[in-house]
Amino acid sequence: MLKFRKFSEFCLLLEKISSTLELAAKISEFIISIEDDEDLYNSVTFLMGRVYPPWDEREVGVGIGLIYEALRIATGKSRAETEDIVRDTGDIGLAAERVLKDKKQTSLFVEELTIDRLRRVFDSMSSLTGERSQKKKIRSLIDLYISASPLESRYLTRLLLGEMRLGVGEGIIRDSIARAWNINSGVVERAYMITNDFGRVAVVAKNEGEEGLKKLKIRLHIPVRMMLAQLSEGIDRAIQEMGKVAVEWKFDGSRVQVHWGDGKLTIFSRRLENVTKALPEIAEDVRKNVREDVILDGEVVAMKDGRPMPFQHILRRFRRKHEVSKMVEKIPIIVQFFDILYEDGRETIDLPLEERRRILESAVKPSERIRIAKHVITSNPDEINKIYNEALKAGHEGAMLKNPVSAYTPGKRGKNWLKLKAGVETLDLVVVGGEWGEGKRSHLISSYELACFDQETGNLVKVGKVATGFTDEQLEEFTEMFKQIVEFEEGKKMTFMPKNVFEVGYQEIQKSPKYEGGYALRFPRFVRLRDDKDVDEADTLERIASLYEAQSKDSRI
Amino acid sequence: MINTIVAGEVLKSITRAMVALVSEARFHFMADKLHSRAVDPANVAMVIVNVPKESFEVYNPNGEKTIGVDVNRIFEISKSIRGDEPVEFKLEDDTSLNVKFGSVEYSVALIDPSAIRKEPKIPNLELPAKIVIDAGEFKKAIVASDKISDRVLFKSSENGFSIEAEGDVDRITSFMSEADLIEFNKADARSMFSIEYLKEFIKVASPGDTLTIYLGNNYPVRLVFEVAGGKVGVEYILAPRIEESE
Repeated sequence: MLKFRKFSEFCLLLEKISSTLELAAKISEFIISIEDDEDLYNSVTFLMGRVYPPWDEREVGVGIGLIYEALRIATGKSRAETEDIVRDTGDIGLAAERVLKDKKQTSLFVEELTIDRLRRVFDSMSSLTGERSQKKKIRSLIDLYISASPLESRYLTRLLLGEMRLGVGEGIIRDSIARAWNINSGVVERAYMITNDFGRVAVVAKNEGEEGLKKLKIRLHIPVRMMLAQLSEGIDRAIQEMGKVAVEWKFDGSRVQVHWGDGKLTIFSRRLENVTKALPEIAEDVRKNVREDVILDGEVVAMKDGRPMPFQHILRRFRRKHEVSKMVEKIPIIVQFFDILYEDGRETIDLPLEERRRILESAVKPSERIRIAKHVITSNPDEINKIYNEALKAGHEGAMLKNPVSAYTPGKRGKNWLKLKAGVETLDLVVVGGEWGEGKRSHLISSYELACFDQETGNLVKVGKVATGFTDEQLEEFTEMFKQIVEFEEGKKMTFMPKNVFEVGYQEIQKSPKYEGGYALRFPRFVRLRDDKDVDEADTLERIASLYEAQSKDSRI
Repeated sequence: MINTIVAGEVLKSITRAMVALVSEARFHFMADKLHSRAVDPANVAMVIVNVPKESFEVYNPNGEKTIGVDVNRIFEISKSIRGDEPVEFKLEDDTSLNVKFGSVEYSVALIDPSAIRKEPKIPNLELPAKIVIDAGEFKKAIVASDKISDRVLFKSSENGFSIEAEGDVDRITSFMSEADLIEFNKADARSMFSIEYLKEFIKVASPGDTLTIYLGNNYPVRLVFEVAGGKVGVEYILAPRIEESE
């Protein structure tokens, strides 16, 4: 059985490595040495800072508050003392490591931590419900902290908070698995895109090799990574490249993948979270009007008086766990289906778009809430332009230009799908801090600090603050939301765990010595919460630099 | 199958004792007693409950039998039972337990005992000091200490037994000399404990109940309560906190 001590020492080693190649080499050596399948599954999953795959409905449900409470009891140090260390180190994992060097509470039985024991404790925590569950979780955490060495506590804490800080992303895990069992990395990639579970991919690779991974098939109720689109360089260019173009509206909504089969219906968001419960009326309509045994790709749109309501409204539905029925009336939603990935026991992703479209049309009967997205095949630029303008007029984002003979490539942002959008540049930035407001807004977090990714180091680099563009209602909602993920407060300012992405507009990008990245946004304005984006999909320093360059070129003319 | 009748206060004491640490537990109906024990998820404390068969009005286990119970649920239900009201327990099969009091009949699903965390062995502790005290006095000291600190120091010496807590600007000492104690062996011992746990434990006792404390040096403590008029034995074992090095 793999000791958690060994896993933690390995993480420490990884933390000191910055080269991607070296990281993949070390991880491949480590995972190939793990004999037990469960240990392998758990280690690969834990290395990515996850306890469960993103689509799994289970969650350990331990936030910063419970961690501070368990640390307080295990060490006898107040939350404020521990927060001070978080402020110094910028990391709760390091703070836990430091305070646990001096444990105060002893236990009746001490048992060494193993990966397997952590798995059992996490599973039992995730099954807890009810009013006493918080207390029970704290007690279980205390047990783990008493059993853990200081170094183990560092990684245990980071794992619980979903942030290992090892610089190990999906690409590195993919390459490590490929290298460990000598498998083509494209095969590993595909297996991951259709299972979204690197633990399982690693176990299959170990036991059945490349052939085993190739045999992995799309399965109902396990989400497939969605195919993404690139920004189009213009209608003429698209026609030049594709010949005939399949044109659809680009809806102002939120992407969903609907799995319907074995009597069960599951809806996943773009981030592959299970959002079935938030969309009961869609689920009901699909059951009635769609042939069973399919996986459909589409966009849900909130409609009012024939026009889409702002995108924000849909995301609010996704986040809502209670009072869904009230929201069903308040925010009427329809779904526009445009693709099919699986039908009647077989994958359809390798079929050309035109053929998938035929299957989609035969499987879906349009209803009040279910539509099949309009789809026109043409090589006439005027016609494309007309559709694009119609979409804009109807309040949507623009048009999608798709290659009618292309396959569906899960997780890929390729040239076969292009988006044609009216161009206002915005940035998707990670929310890393905030500040309480003044006067009337003193009970609200009314200013938010934003950061982008430095691709070279993988660090978050601050680029400015946004305090305008919010409605009072949004500020109330965000205050509630961000209060849960405060790492520490300092006067009126606070630091958040980087979990959320804001889309912001701005007037221009400036060079600024004030920020470590060297750039700052002038007049930033909040556009929306990108609840459909993971933090690692936020914009990079590189993109900001190139936008700055483009902007200074413009001003020279 | 099992068929017993017991006073309401006994049922209340048993469930209250267990819920201080766990929400599910195994109950062993043995020939001479009902026994249950469990460790809290943090492995910091343990509870042991014994109810001798003489404490029941009717005790008919029909051989030895172990059942798994959601003690939380029964604890909630038991709140509405009067102390002197007889309660009938019936186990018709392995799937549900019937609890009858007055005109109320409550039926609850049992838990597969193998799905409940395995009970640990009771640790063998050598503890020099023995202090027998009115549980009501102990309760007072813990409740007061909880106001100013999250830990208390238990101290036993020639002079007596004390419970001390230190706040930021204040301090509480409950001192009892030999004369204030029911029984005392004057041995030297001291250990510190988390109030978090102690304040849960004291809920089981009332003034007039007897508490026997077995205390060591930086070592777990045994708190043995006799509650419900001596009908129920509840023992807690609690791991110590390490004292601050000054």
